[in-house]
Amino acid sequence: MTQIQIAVRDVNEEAFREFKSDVVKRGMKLGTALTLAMEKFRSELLKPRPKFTSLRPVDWGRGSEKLSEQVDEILYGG
Amino acid sequence: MIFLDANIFLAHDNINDVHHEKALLLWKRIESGEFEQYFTSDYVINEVVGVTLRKFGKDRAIAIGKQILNAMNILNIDEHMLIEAWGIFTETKLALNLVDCTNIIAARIADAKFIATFDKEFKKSEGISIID
Repeated sequence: MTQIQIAVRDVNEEAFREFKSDVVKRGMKLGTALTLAMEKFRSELLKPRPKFTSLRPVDWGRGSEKLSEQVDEILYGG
Repeated sequence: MIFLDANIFLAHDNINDVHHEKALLLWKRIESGEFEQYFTSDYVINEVVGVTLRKFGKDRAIAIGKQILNAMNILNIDEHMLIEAWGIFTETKLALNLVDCTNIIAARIADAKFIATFDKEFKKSEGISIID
């Protein structure tokens, strides 16, 4: 497998530091771990997802007519 | 790209909800790809699951939460986004709660052009295209 060197802009410093720390703890090379992370990212993106609407709507009962407008009231009392 | 607010999920799930019919139509548009990708945040999931838990029960709360987690990308609100949202929350004259403000920041960070919500207060907020 061909290996390359890259420079990446706009990487979150804290996220990178934690990632690097985890990689070192596992005795891995940063490039190897980054390759695994990229493969994982791609497989997640390509994974077929169910539609939200495949969960069939149900009857929430009387008095539930305005629940979607009462989120704040229900959760925060406001 | 479009960000989905909590009421969009709740109105779809509850056949008695005043916005249910609108939610069915809106979800068709969302899932047909009209707005390309759609996503929500961990804070919004917390609201949807919280309301479902209190008003319907734990089994349904688990079902709807699981469905959201499986069906779309979830943006985790980090400290930076929370601080940005806090800035909006403290400055705004609108009746937006802190989670609403994180919705605005989430949409902005992800470069989403739209927020799907039935909350009329968002319509008064500048720089956001509301879909309902």
